[in-house]
Amino acid sequence: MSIVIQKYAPGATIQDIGRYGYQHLGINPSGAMDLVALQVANVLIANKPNEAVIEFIFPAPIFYFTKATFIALSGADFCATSNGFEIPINQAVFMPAGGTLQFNKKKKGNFCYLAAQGGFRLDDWLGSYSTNIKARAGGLNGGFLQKNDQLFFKKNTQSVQHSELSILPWRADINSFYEDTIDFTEGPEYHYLSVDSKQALAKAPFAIQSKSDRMGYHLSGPALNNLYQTELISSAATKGTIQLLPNEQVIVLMADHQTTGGYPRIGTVSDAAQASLAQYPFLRSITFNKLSLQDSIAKLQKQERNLCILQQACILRAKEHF
Amino acid sequence: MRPIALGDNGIIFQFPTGINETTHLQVMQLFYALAQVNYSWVIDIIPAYDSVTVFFDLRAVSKIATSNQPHQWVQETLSLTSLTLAHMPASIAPIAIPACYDSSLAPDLQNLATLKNLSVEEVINLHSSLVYKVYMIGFLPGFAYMGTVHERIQMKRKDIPATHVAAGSIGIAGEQTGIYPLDSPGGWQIIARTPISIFDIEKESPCYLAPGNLVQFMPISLTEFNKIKSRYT
Repeated sequence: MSIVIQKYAPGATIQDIGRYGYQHLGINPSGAMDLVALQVANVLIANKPNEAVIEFIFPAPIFYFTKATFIALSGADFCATSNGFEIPINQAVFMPAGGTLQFNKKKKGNFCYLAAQGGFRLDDWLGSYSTNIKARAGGLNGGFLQKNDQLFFKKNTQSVQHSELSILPWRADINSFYEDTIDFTEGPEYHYLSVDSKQALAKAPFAIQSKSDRMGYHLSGPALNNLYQTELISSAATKGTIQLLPNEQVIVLMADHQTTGGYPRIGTVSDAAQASLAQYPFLRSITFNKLSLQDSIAKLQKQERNLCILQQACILRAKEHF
Repeated sequence: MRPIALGDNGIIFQFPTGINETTHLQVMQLFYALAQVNYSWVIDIIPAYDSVTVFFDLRAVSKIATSNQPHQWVQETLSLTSLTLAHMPASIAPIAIPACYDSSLAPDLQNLATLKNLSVEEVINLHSSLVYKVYMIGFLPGFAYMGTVHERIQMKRKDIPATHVAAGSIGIAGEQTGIYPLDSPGGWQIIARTPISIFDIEKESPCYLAPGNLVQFMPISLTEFNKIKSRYT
């Protein structure tokens, strides 16, 4: 009743929606880089939207299924195959016992999510299954998934209808969840920027540098001017915080961000745009778009409504098959 | 106290800027007032030197807010809450933290002493004779920012952070002192190490220190360090 890591690849972890309620102790939330994909993968197979899943990058591990289950992949498209058959992303799949799942090419996106029906049997740490790499806690043994690691299913899947690998006839249309420009709102130190730098932030092309990771995306772009050179007193930062570094470049804090920081917070990437940013190709031109807080919240509420609609639709379809 | 938005679901309550006891007391009062009301839609409250930041669950707020502007509703609700008097924990004796200032565990101690025209013993005395306040926790899980360090031993961060600072290392950065809870890169001037676990994931409360705590360092010998350390591993 498990998935086994048959071949190791770096960077694979267990993640859910994140660990909240402990940031006053410096314990950062972690959680999936792309929370939309986490939820899509889960609801496709009628899981709770925030069930723990496997997050991985390319090159990806090879997974071996000791027991049949329903799965779904979402987020990045790494051209998955199972014993020679193509496995689409954003679609529910019946995976038979003895099946393998491998990933052949980085087609689109950075982070892929694998959900299994009913979720994995894991111990939570402070109420979440998310792996906190720095604290070496949560997930499976608090770390990256290793060769021969075994993830047990919480639920024993019985299917009367399926015995062989099957691509099930429903798919999530995820186009409305991702955009090419990244929305942001003004941060507390937005006024530290000169007029020219404010314009540059909202118009000029940036690129995500290859040293970026789950902690933060380093951007290269126009030099942004800090009008106030005084040192800032440390204060809270969050996922999406755009920090202005002393070298006039910016970093966007991502899922494994520090809870506090001392660099000017010139903006915050809108919640609804964080999935797009997480999956945006590195080293390619990327532009930001400034929104009012009200518009930013409205977009998030729309995204959440669309996820709810998708969830309801999937539950109906899953009932016919599971 | 001025509210400022931090993204779609965060509000910073900013006090007059600075690191001092008066502001810290206001910060802790707001922190406890908000924590004690225990709103179901509040997901995190982060006290810092001169601010308290609240993160909320936008979905939950949208369901109960009496206006269609959730951010503003949260801001108004929390501002009202801030007027209630918080039940503050009774002031307790400082927590004594054993600290070994042996040169083998304190790579920057001699250098700091030399630069400040002090003997190593004087630095140890100045560092261990004061009671420090935990102003905030951040940077790493359980990393306590404490102050205020005696001005004769204040020293700025290293220009180039050390690639490896051992867990338990006690450092100085400007007027602050702190303890590294985990092995980590870091830029603080390391003058001692504690043998006790500052962060332990096996514990129900994994962090040894919390904002508002008082701390005093208790100098120990290398032999005592090793003896206590062996109890923790």
